[in-house]
Amino acid sequence: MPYEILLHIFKLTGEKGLLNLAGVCQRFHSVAATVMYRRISYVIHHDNSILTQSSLDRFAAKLETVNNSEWEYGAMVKRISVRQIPIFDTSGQTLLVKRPEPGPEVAKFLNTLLTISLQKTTHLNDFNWDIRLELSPSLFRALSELTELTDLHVRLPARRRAGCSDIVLGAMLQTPHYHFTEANLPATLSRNISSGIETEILKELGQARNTQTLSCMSGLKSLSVLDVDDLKVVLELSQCITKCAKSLKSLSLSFSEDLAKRARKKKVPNPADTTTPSIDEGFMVNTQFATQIALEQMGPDGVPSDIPLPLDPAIRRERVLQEMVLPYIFKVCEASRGEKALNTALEYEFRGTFSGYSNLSKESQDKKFVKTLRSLSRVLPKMMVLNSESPGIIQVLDKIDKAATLYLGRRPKPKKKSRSDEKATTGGPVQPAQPTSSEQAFAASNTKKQPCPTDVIDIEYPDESENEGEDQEFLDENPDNELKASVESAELSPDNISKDIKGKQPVVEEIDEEETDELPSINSTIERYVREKHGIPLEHLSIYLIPVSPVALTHAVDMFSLRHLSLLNVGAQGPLWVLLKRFNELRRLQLTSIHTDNVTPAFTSFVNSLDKVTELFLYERSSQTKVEPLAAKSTVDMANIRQDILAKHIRHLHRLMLRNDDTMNWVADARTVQLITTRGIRLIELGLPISTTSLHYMIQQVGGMLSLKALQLFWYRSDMCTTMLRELQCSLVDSIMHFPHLRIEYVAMCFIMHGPVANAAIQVKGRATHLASGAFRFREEKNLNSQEDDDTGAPSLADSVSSDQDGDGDSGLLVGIEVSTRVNLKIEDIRGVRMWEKGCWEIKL
Amino acid sequence: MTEQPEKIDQVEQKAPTLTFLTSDNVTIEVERDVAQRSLLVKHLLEDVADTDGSIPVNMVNEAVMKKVIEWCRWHKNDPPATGDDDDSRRKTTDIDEWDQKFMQVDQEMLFEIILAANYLDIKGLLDVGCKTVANMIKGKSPEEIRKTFNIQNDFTPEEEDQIRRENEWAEDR
Repeated sequence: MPYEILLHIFKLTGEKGLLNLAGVCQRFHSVAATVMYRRISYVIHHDNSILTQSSLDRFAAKLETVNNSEWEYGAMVKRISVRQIPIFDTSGQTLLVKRPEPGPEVAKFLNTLLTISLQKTTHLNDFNWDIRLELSPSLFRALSELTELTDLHVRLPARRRAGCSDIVLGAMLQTPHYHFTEANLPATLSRNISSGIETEILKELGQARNTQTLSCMSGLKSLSVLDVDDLKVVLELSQCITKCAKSLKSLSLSFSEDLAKRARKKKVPNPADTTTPSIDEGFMVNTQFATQIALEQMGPDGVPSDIPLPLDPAIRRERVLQEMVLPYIFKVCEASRGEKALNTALEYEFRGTFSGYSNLSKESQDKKFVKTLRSLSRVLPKMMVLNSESPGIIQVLDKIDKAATLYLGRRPKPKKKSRSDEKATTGGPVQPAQPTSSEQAFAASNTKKQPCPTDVIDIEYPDESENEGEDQEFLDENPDNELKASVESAELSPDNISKDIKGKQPVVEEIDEEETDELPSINSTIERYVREKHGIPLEHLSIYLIPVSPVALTHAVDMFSLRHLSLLNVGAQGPLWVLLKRFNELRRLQLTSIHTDNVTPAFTSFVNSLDKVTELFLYERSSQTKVEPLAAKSTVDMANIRQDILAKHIRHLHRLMLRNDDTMNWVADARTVQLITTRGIRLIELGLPISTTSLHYMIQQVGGMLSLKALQLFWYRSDMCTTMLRELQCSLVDSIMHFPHLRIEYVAMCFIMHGPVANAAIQVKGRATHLASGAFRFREEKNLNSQEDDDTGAPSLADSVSSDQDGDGDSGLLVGIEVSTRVNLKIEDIRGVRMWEKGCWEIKL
Repeated sequence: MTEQPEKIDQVEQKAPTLTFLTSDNVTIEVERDVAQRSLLVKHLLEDVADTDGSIPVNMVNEAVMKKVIEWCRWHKNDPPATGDDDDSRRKTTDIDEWDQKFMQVDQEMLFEIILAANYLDIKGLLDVGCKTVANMIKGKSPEEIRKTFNIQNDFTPEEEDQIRRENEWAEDR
C-alpha cells in the first residue's frame, strides 16, 4: 500500500488507534508517528479547566518525547500552536465568572520549553502563538533558524501603560494611607504593586539591549501579527515584511483594542451611571461635548464626516499617528503631492458619485450650517472666559473660518494665515504636546532634507508648499516623527535608525541592497520589477483596527493578485472601493472573498463590477460596540444589497453573511429570500437577517439551497421571546427534514440587540451524502432527458419536489426520513463553519 | 446492494459512452457521466477531444473495475465536493448504509478497490475504502492488527515497550 494511502487511513483511526498502529511494525510506526506528532498544541480554555489541564498534559508529554526520544519525533512536527479560547460570548448573555489570564511566568516557561524544543523540530512549517503573552527574542531567533517555517501567527501581549506605572510609582513613594474595610487589604496590594513594577523595570532594561524579534524572520508565506499594542513593534514588523516580501502570500495585521481606543474619542459617560460632577467639571464636560457634536455635524460638503477628528489633542495626535502606521510598515511614500491629489480626488469621487444616498439638499445644508454656527457662538464665550488658552478654542475658530468660507463658496484661505490670526486673537501661544528631544532631533534633521514623504501635510491643501515657518508649530505634531520616537525608544542601533528614516522608500529598495551580490536571473528581475511596480503580491490580506488609506494600500499590495480582503474597523473604505473599481475596469481583479464592516454605495457598486464573488461577509457594527468605528454608519439597505450584489453574485456565492447589529436596514424581504433560496444553489454557509414575514418565506423555500451546510438567521423582533425563537427554529428544522436532498447540517437562530442574543444551533444529524444521492438518483432516473437549469446544470426546487411526489415506493428516498437532531448547540463547539469562527463572529481578527 | 449489480451492465443506449480496457484485456463500456466521477478520466476527456478508442486502465482488472463502476453509477449525482466544506465530514469514519454494504468484500478486493480509486482519482470511493480499513483497525491491539492484515513484527520487545511508554499520552483518547 502506498505511503499516502496508509497516511490517509491512519489519520482516521484516532490517537488510540495510532498508538496501536505504531507498535505493529517499523513501517507503521513511521507513518503513525508522522500523524501523531504532526501537530503539537496547547489550548487554554477559559471556561473549562479540565480541557485546559488535559491539553497541557498532552502538550508537555509530546514535547518531552520530542526532546528525549531516540526515534526523532521532532522531525515529524509540522505545526506548533499555543492558543487560548476566551469565553465565547455568542449568546449575548452577561458573563458572571472571568478566570484570571495567564501571566508572564507562564510565558517565560512556555518560551523556554519551546525554544529548547525548536532545536529538534527541524521541519516545522507553522508556528501559531495565539495568546496574549510575550514571545522572547531567543524564541524568535530559534524560529528564524528553521528553514522550512512558512507560517507565523503571533498575538502580541498587552503593554503596561506608562501612565499607570507613573501613578503606581507615585503611590509607592507616598506614605500608605488606607481605610480598612473588609474588602480592602492594603498590605497585600502594595506588595503586589511593588513587585509588578520591579518586574516591569527589569523587563524594560532587558529589552533595551536591542534584541531582534519579528525582524529576524524571513521567507514566510503567511504572517499574522495581531493585537499590536506597542508601536515599538512597527519597525520590527516593517523589516520582517521587507524580508518576506518575496514569498509572502497572506498577511493579517491588527491593533489591540486598547491601542485603537486611544485614537477614538472618549465615550461620554451616561449621566445616569455617574455621580454628579462638580460645577466646573460638569460645565467643561458639557461644553466639550456640545462643541464636539456641533463640529462633527459639520463635515465637508455638508455630509457627515467619515472620520471626524476629535477635539482632544491627544486623541487627535494618536489618530494621525495610527493612520501613518500602515504606510510605515509597508514603507510607502504616501504623502507625495501626486498621491495626495489622488487621495483627494478619490474622496471627491466617492462623495460625488454616491451623494444620492446621503447628501442633503442645499437648504438643509444651509440650515445645518446656521444651526452649527449658532451653537458654536454660544459655546465659545464661555470657553474664552474659563480658559482662554485652551487649544479647543483655536480649533473652534478654525472650524468657523472653514465653515464660513465654505458657505460663501470660496476656497479656504491658506491655513497658516488663519492660524496666525488666531494666535493674535487668543493672545497666548497654543502649545501642542511637547515634543521629546528625539522628536526635535528628527524634526531638525528632516528640515534640510528632501521633503519626507510620510510627513503630515494637510490633505485639504495638497498644492501648498511646506515651509518651516513659525506657523508650523500650530500643527498638532509630525506623526512620522512621533512614530520614529516611538520606535526609537526601543533603543535601536544607529543603522536601524538610518533605515528608519529611509523607511519611506519602497520596500523593494532594501531587497535590492540585499541581493546586490547575486547575479540577477530573468525570473528574479521580473519578480523584482513586478514587486516594485505593483507591490507585494499577497493573496490574502486582513486588517483590523489599523486605519487604512487607499493609496498606501494599493501601493503596498498588488491588488491584482489579491483573492481575499478583510477590512474591519479601519476607517472609511469608500475611496478604496472607488479605486479598486477603477482598477477592475483596467484589468480584472481576482478578488473573490471580501469581509467588510463599512458597507457603502461605493462598496456595493464595486462588488457589482466584479465578475465572480464566492464569499461575502458584510457587517454593520452596533453603536455600542467596544471600539468605536472610524467610519460613518452604513446608508445601504437590503434593496441596494439585493440589486447590486445578490442579483449578480448569488449563483457563485459559497458563503454569505449579512449581519447588521445596529439597524433593521438589512432585513431580508420576500424578494431577497426568494432570490437566495432559488438561485443560491452553491451556498454552503448563509447568515441572514430576517423578519417574521421573511422567516415564513424561508421555511417554505429552504428546499432550494442544495449545497447549504450551515444556516444562521438573525431574527429582528421587538418581543424577544426565546420560547418562540426555539419553536420557530424547530419548525424550520422540521421543514428541512421534508427535503431529503438537502445537506443542511446546522441551523442556528438568534435575536439581534446590539449583537446576537440567545444564539443556539440545532444539528440535523445523519444527513450524509447518501441522502442526497438517493433523491438525486431517483430524479435522474425519472427525468433523465429533462432540461436542467441552463446556467448551473443543477436541479431546481421544482424538480426535487416533483420527484419527491412521484417517489412513493422507492426505498432510496425513505432513508432520508431517519433523521435525528441535537438541539441547543453552542456555535463555538461546531467546527468547519467559517461564519461561526471566533474572529468572523466577533467581527475581528 | 442486491439490486445494483444487475444495473452495472445495463448501459443506457442513448447516453454517450466510453470504453475502458482493463489490465486483463477486457473492455468495459460505461456511460460518460458515470466515468467522469474519476478525475483522471474527466481530465483526460478535457485534454483529448477524440476518445473513440478504448481508455487503457493498466492498474485495474475487470473485477475491480466493475466494482468501481458500480460505485460511480450509484454516486454519479452526488453534489460535487467543494473542497473545504467536506473536510470535517471526511474526518469522521461514518459510512452510509449503501457504501457499507458495497464494501463488504474480501480484504484483497478491498485493497484493490482502494488502489484503483487512488489511481483513477475518485475521492469519494477512496474515502469510503480508507474509512472501512480504519474501522477494521479501531479497537484492535498491535497484535490483533498484525493478525488481521498478516504483518510481520520487526520490533524487539524493548522497542515495543519504549514506543508504548513514549506515546502513553495517546492512551486516554
